[in-house]
Amino acid sequence: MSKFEDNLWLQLERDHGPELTKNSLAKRRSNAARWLSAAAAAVVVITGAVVAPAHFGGTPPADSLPGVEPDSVTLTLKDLGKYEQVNAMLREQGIAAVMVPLRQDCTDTVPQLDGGPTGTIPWGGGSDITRLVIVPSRIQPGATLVFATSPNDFGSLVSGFYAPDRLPTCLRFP
Amino acid sequence: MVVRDHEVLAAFERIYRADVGAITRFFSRRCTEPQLVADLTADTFVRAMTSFHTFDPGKGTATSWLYGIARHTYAAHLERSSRSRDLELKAGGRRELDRDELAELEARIDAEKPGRALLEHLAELPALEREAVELVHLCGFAPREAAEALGVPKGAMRTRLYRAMARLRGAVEVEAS
Repeated sequence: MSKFEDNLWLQLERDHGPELTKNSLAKRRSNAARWLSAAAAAVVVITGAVVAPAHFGGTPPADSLPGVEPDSVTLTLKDLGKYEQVNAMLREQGIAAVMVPLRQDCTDTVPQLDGGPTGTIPWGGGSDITRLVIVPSRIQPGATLVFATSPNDFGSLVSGFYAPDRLPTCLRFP
Repeated sequence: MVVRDHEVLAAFERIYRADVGAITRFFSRRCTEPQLVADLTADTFVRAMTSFHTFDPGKGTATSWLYGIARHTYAAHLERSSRSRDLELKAGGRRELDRDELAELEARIDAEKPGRALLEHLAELPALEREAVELVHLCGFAPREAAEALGVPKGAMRTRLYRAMARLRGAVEVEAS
């Protein structure tokens, strides 16, 4: 950071930081009812941990309402392991999400935002072991969703939110 | 998503730190006064902070969102200039740069000289085509991201780029002959 950029940030933070948080709080309150009803309807609420195959194995999640998330992106079995292609596609679509390998020997210990899993990971309706629906509007501003799946299906899934400049290259299978 | 108050500010700060350089360069290609570059950059981020709650990452990247704001900021500046109202605004509390910051911005403005020259070369193109070429070929945007920043349909962006490049090639060929 240059001196100009640092000084400008100090001024912005001092003069407009309170307004930023106030506006965001007001927005969250107005969205609260919608989020609460969505959460109540959702069978799958993932907190950055593992989704057991049983979760996605049988009937689809209760929030699988086709068409409710028009901007969502669906990954299918043929996308598994194709990190470069999938990440290029996500970049092209302007979606702050990155697919990385899921490994038992992953030693990457990059901290998640908020110090750990904090809320609903943005998987949309229709997600099951054969497909994964990403809903970009559920990714918090300024964060990147990093996710890793088992090599054969989407039955095991590890994910979290990270700062865009500190992304893990793999996620550890617990 | 649970986001605490200080995390909203932290999230915005990450966006600021990732993009402030590019936004400063955007204005450095258009203005040669360091104080004006500083004012327009600051104005862009003030607008971004006050409207951050409306930013939807599902509709585009933070970078393209910020470029969209920077474009509006610059357009508003041109409009103010044409009405000679800048003096009023400048009296309204801008931050004066110190000597180091002035030198820093002068260096950036100097570094953008080729970019300014390219924009001048593109002056014959319609504004949107000119900006499309700038974002894709100067700033490294993907066409989709440039479309988001310019607020045009994504499908139209490739057409604009193709048309702009064809016009440029034509102009270069005429010059060469």
